[in-house]
Amino acid sequence: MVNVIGLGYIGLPTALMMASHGVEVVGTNHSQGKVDMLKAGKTTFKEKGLDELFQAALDGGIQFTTEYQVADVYIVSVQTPYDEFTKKVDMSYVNAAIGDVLKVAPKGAIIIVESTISPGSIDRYVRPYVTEKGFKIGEDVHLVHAPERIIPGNMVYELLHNDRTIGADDPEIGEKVKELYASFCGGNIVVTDIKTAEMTKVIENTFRCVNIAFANELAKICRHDGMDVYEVIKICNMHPRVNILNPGPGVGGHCIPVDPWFLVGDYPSLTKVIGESLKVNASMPEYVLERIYEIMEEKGITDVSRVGLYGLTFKENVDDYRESPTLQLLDFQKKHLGTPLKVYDPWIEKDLVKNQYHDLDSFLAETDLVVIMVKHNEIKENMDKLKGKIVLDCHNICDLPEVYHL
Amino acid sequence: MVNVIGLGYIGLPTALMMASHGVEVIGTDYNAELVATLNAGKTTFKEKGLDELFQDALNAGVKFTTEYQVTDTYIVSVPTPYDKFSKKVDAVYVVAAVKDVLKVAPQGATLVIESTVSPGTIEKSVRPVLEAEGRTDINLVHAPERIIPGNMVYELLHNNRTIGADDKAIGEKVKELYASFCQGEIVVTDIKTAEMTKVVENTFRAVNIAFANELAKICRHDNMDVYEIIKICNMHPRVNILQPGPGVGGHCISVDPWFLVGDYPSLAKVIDESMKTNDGMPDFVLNRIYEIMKEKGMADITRVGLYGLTYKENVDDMRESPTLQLLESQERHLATGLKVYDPFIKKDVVANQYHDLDEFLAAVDFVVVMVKHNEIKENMDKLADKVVLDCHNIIRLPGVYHI
Repeated sequence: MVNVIGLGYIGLPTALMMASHGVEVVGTNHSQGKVDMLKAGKTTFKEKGLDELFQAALDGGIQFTTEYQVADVYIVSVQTPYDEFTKKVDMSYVNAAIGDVLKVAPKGAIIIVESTISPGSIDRYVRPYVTEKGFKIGEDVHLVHAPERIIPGNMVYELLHNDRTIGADDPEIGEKVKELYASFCGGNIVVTDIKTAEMTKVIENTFRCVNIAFANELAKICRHDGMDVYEVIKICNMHPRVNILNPGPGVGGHCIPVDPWFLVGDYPSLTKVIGESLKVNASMPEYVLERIYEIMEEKGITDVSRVGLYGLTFKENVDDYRESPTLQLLDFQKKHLGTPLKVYDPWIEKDLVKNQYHDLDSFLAETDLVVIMVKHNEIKENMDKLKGKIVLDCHNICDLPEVYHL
Repeated sequence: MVNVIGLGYIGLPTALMMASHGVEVIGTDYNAELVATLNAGKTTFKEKGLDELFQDALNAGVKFTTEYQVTDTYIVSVPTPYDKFSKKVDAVYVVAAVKDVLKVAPQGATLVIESTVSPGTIEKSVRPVLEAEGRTDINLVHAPERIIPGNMVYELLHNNRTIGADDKAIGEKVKELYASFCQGEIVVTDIKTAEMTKVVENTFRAVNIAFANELAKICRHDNMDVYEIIKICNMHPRVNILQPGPGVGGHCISVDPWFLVGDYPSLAKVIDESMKTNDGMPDFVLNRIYEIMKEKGMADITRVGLYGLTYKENVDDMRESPTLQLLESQERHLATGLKVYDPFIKKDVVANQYHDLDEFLAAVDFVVVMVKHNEIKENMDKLADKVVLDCHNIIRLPGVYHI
């Protein structure tokens, strides 16, 4: 039996996936409210295909509880927050979960850490913790790191099809865990050591970060010279060895703006390109703010309350707003003692920030300048409602005349 | 008829390609010796498939001369050197070629600049020449190339191309001309966008090479295998990390990004750091050599040899190559240059240079693979009893060191 600890954005879909592919799974979460909701047959966040998967997992006999189970395999997918100032990952949730696992785990159990951690974390934090508790790693318990690669908005497909990495001390244990993931994963599964697995996960997100930063830098250069960055990128990408990403209003979420800092923190004198890339991406929300200011000047708009931000989430068609560019932008405003702009997001039902709307039409009725911060399908399908508005389109999705870009 | 001005690494293959596809072409170069070599039926540099292409072009009637021709279309592909300190492109050869073209060009001729120029150069340096000469009748076009040395012939035939023109109709005409041989898609845009795309393409490469080099340094510091890590990362559907190496040379990736840094210093931060990282790699290799010598207890630097002088494998172009950068760095530190050998470089270009692999290997105990020429891949067994620093992860022998 597999006990999945932590039923968040990664743990829940992973648990459901295994359960719906014939693995006996119990999902454990410390939050009684969340467990009750799942038991009541409701998913805890919105994601394409998740509800169907949930149903299949229920049919497969999945159970949810706040209790840790006696199992041969544990998958720890609790959150790993990071300190905003030091950018260091906080391993306390991982270790707390492992501590609770050790209370019930039978001899020889496999503990898989699936949470994203900085390279070396298992050596630095987990091993000493487990050893201190009197467990011999490799005999009493086996440690494995199995990072995920799925993209929010397409998690279900990517769980099924992406290649995976398993890092283990003992290749035999690695192979056993590989078999477990192969129950649902149709991609290649590589078995390597733990530190390499930790490193690959962080480097994958860092690669994205650097290439997004490059696109953002191009956007700024082109803006300065009045050139069309989208045309430039489109043409460049016809080159057989070039694949430039799209610029945007910033980077949010819990992977791409966070993981590269682990490398910068650990290797400050070696990570110059990565360090600059993080800075460029972090500068984008403020850059958008400056564009709004320029456009207001140009159009003679003086009433800030007539400017609205479309989108609060960190990417399109998801309800996850952690570290989103819109929140970063509002934070910059706040720190400059500005009145926060009006905001609307169809995916965020609760009130999160000031001046937030919950209906597209009332939001639009109150604003003259609309800034597209997120390219939700909703706005793509309602483009005509932006007619007559001044639009700053941060994603190049609006083909109305005279739209402003980054 | 098309008059191609400048018969170097780009001009010559382009001229030959057009000629062999039914376009009447005359190639002009101010270098009489180069023209004489071509007229004697010999190519002027080594490149896969170039000799066959040359023969086809000769059969089709391509001609070579030092004289500018009277015709309706000119393609200028002269060098655009850059100032090592300011990193600015020097359009002096382009301007000189344009001036010479204007002396003979008939009314309404089309002038295609194929040389790589920094964004805005045509506006700042070329157009004023036309205006000063009162030749606003000339149609200006920029048609940058995208071919990779070592696979030029294939890529000329198959890569997509970009044409930048003031006048769409002229752009379309030039597109037709290139379509005589180019099977890829050809986009017509304005001149400045075309200039920008070329530089941005090479900058994308520079940034991604720098990222790989940075990873190599991180992994070295922690004794991890960067090649294994990159291999695994690249199984991610949205990740494609390039390979690290001993530095970046040639006349594109190590040069073009500086144009952006020079023109937009406060904006091109990632690019700037990328250039510094790549420029730092030859010194990083030197430091690796130093470390390995210490580890192995080696004291005699005359027993250390660099394999490869060119800036990439299987070509004879050594402009700005990592090996030359490394040797220059040695010189600036008052060190004696390491032994060097490259099968593609026949003439003596540096001190302590060898021209035979066996002689070179007999004179050294420690070999640094700077360039992954096929020759060394095919003669790997000859490195069996050497200390090897393999900067390209191509040597499959036990105990090999990596960057």
